[in-house]
Amino acid sequence: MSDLDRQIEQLKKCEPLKESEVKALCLKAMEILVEESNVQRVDAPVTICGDIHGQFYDMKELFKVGGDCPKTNYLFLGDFVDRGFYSVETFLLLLALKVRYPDRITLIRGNHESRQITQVYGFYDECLRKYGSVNVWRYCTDIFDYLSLSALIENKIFCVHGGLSPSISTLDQIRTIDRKQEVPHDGAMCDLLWSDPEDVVDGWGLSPRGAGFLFGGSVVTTFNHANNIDYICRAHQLVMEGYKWMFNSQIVTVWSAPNYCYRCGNVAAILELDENLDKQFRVFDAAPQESRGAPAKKPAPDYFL
Amino acid sequence: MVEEEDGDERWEHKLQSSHLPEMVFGDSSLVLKHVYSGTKIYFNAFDALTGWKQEALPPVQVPAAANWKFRSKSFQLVMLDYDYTFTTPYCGSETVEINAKLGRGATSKEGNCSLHWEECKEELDMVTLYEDELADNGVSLLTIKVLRVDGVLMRLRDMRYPSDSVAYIDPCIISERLPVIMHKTQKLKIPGNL
Repeated sequence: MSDLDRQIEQLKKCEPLKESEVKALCLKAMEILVEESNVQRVDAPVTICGDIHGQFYDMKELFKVGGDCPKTNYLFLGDFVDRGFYSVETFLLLLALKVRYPDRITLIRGNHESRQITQVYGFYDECLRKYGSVNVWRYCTDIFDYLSLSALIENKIFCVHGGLSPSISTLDQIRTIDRKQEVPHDGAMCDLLWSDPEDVVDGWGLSPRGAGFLFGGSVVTTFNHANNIDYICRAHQLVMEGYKWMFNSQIVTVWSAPNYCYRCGNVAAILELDENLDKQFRVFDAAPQESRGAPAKKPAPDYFL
Repeated sequence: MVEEEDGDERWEHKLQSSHLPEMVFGDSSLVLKHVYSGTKIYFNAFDALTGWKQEALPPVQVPAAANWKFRSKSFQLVMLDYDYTFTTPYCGSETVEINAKLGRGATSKEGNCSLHWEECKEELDMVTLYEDELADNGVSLLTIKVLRVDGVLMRLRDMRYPSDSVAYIDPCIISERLPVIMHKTQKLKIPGNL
């Protein structure tokens, strides 16, 4: 058994790797990811997965439902880390599978694959807690910069973490982005990872926060038509039923973190496409309590009101 | 969560809003009951969101908003302007049960000025009514906490080294550093016990 296979077995048991192993794994992954396009080509059949957010034991449920990699060809739409208790093990397992089976798993970047966001939402703290230093966080966030921004399945289904950008009307425009950087605060790369479809607007909308684009049905129609694609598949937003179609089946949201944050009560879904691109959504629940590891108990309540 | 079929849509219709918090714990509530008078104060997400909808605060803008305004000048843009933080003035709903009967712990001696808990076994109970992560721009939470103090002896020694990074995530600390905009005290008068 090779070192890599042994590491995959170890990670499948939710045991993190040594710091030196993480460093070596990230170097190998970098060599593979740097060759990928900003619009990475993916062949069918493929199974598309949305946000995971460090919910390792729920990702194991996902693999139970969808089949193991490499037997099943996977596309993950980003947000591997933050919020859950096992961001380290979750991301490293996916990354190890990527290095071991580069043509059977595609990882694209979510807005949480960022230095800034992971310092707020848990991945940074988890690395510090599990390794006693921030080195592993540094190796991982350096790898984030190499993750592709989108994928295109059989030239027909465009996959991205967030959504569309007013600066982008063709896939070729995405291909010209220099992605090897921290996710910027604005511009095309930021929009692809952050924007949301919105029923209330038809064209472009601005979130009430004053930042962050929302796009309506006619924007999606124009984009799909211009790029000759059937529909857009994206993640990024919690949907209680695991998946949600919008704008007359021109865009679908897939969400793969069941019982999000261990309290939301939602189901999760993955989208299986066969060789003819026929769709089947597989909906699944959170892993049963007894099959997950230690934490999950309620945090001690604040004693001040 | 809003659990029944099409629950989201029903709430959106009843509240006349197409925007609801990401997580609405519609089946959760916390009830304080004065057993003697039948007076109940209860807390629930629907009434809290009704308060949010009625108050209709203008949205607060994140620091990056100025740049985006500049960027979005070049094309037509619909500006959504609801209060996306779901801030509410809600401080509970009240009802009176008609057939109240004398209950445990509600003797006239003790029952004058304090409410009694029937089922509150823990010393502190917390119920989350709704929660939204503001699309990764922070977090908004509406929680109800009850601290039960009758018959409890507490000694508390608390030492904290506050730093700015702690202040941003701990509402107890940040609240000490914010200016008070409004201070409101309400007195609850329970019929028959005035």
